Amino acid sequence: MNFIRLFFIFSTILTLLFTGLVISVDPYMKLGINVFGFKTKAVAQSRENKYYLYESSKKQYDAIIMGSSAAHRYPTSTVKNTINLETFNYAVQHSTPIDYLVILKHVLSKHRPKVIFLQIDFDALNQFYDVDNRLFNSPLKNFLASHETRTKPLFDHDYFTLAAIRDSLRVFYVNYFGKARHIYLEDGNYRKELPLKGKVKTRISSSKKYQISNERIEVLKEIQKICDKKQIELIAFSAPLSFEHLKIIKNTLSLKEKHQKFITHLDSVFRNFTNFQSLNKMKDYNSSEYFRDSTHPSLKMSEIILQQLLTSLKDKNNNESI
Amino acid sequence: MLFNSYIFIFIFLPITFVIHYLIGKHEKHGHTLSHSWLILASLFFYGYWNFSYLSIIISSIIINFLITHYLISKPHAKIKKPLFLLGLSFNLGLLGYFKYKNFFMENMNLLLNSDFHFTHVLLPLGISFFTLQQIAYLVDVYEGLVKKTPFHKYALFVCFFPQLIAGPIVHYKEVMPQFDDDKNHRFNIKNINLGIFVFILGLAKKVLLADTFAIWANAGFNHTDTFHFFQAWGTSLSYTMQLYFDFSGYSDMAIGLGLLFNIKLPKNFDSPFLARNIIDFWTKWHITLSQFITTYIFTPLLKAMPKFTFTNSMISIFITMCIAGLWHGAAWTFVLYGALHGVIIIINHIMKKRKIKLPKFWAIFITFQFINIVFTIFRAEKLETAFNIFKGMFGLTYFKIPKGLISEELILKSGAIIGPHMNNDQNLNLIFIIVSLYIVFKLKNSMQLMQEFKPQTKTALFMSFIFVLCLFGLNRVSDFIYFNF
Repeated sequence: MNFIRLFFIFSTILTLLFTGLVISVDPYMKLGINVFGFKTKAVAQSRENKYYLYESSKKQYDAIIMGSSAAHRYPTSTVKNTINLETFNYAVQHSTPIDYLVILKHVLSKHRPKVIFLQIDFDALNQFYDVDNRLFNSPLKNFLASHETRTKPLFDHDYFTLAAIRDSLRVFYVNYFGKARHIYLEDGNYRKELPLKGKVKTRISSSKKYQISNERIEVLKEIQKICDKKQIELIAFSAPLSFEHLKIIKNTLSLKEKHQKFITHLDSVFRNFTNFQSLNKMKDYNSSEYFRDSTHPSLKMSEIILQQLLTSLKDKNNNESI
Repeated sequence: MLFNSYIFIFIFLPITFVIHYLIGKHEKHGHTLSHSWLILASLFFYGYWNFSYLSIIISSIIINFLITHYLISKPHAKIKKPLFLLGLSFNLGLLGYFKYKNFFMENMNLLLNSDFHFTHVLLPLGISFFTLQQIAYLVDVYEGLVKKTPFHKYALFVCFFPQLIAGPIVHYKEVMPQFDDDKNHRFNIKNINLGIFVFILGLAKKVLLADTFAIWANAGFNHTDTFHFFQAWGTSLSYTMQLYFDFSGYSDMAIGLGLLFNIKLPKNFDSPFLARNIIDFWTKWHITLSQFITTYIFTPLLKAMPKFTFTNSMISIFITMCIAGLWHGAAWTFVLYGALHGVIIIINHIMKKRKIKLPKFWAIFITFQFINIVFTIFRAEKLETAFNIFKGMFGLTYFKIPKGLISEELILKSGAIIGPHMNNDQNLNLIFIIVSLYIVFKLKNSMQLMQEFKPQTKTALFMSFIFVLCLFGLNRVSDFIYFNF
């Protein structure tokens, strides 16, 4: 058989093999497949990890932190030390309001907290920013209303990457030879990271189009309604963005208008809302000490944000403990 | 369109390839149709980035063709030189405007302490390459070395897509006879096998090695604080390896693509890190550019000197290398890059004259260290960053040795600081550097592998494996470094 024919046959076989490996292992749980019945997917995402952390904890959490990956680093100890409430960080990547509603339902199924900190991203209200498929594959799916279905296509071409092959092999290794290393620690806290130095890298939204989703605003209203009914103090705030990132939004006319609408909507939906997406508030925090990248605050910045929220909460409650 | 993209590999290349050979099979007289198809495909390939760039390349081709066409038709001696100078000025003007206008205006403002407002001009892709190629052709025409050429052949010579964006810079006589050859319009299985082989080698260099090194190099060059010893070496070596694999990867892909169309492009790399001195290095690194600057800059400059002396030739070398540095980019760091090469080449010539010869190992070692240093300057946006890295590399900051690498007692005795254990990322960086050093110093280069290539089953299996890994790595598509020059 000639070289070219062999080359194409081998390439096809290998492509199918690697694709099959990623699909069958499903290392990021995007597809909800577990052909080999793995007990753990070491690289699995926060929805699954945090669900089990919360579910298996013997603590009764009176404060919950919700938000996207930008809220991962909010340390629960800051809340505990300031207002003496056991706190759980239930932030999950790539989240939208439906994630928060589902998480709230999960939290309430176990215990009614006293305070909820809810961080909302600019992207979270963008109707072109899809609901993450991982929500539908995690145990949180049990808290979804019956009409809520997946919005992402089954096959995501971003899934077929070298990293996915590596992580699929890692899942095999962890299940057969090693120990799973979760990136989330007790109380949903994030693993320790080395500090970064230098300029903050700007990561502008992956969605080129931006349109505020009315449906998602309705979900936020529902969250506020549930909290009111259950007498939970809901503290909503916009996710802090780096100074450079905010400057880009400000200088891009179409984004600037959408951003203003985003803030106005949040302000009208929530009784207690703080906006951190303002150039004035962020001008003193323009370095890697405060941001891992332009949308992810560092541990230090996360502490600052939490402290500000807690101070206003304490002020509001006339310095009495909650 | 990038060679390392799905659209190029699965759509553009197969369509261009199949139609080219279908036309070749049915075209009985001449190759006008076949050439026209390749021109059309090449212009599409070029315009895919930015449609407006097309007008620049097309007008450059047309104007150069008209001037050279008239020069070939033997005009009166009185207008031959002005016409040649007109062509030269047009090409240099085009390059000057698009590549150096911003640099010139910024420096003018700095020098005159003024604030002249000017519109920033975007650099059209490959302008340095297609302009140099056309200057070489213009000079050859002026010297009477080229016969009358039809427009389609000339246009194909300039815009043939495998070498359009980043070389190799080809000479008319190297490729045009190949485009004319009837045999080259027929399916040649030997060339196609070889073409696939070299293209995949280049793709692997780019996707698996250069793009991985880019992560560490970019992180290092964005770091603004003090570099410690290991960090500085990690950064500089990562960039040196990134640049080598990126550019030699591109050249391999270009050569492989050329072979798919039965065109043998000249080699551009020949194990440059095995060079024993910088003169030797320039015969192995970006070979076609070295040949161009020797023929079209150094030699005329030397001829223009009043006397042919050793000093004058050294002055010519220095000026030539500064120009070569500036060709790479409009910034003072590039001029410094060229000037440093010039100085070391002069030292090499002096050593040669005095018959000073270093042992092979030390000659290669010192040359590589110099290259690593100048590449750091080449990459740094500010000289300050490069000097920060150098301070770390030469131990002028502090030695922080990761725990577990050697005994802690030994670290403390040496006066170094014990750092934390190396994390996974640092381990991987170290492994990649060691493997890459082994590849560049010990393994055969792509051209040697090409010569030994045998279309066997095990080769097909190995190349398929690499190719599929590259396909899975294409999600992190990145430009080639030399696209910016």
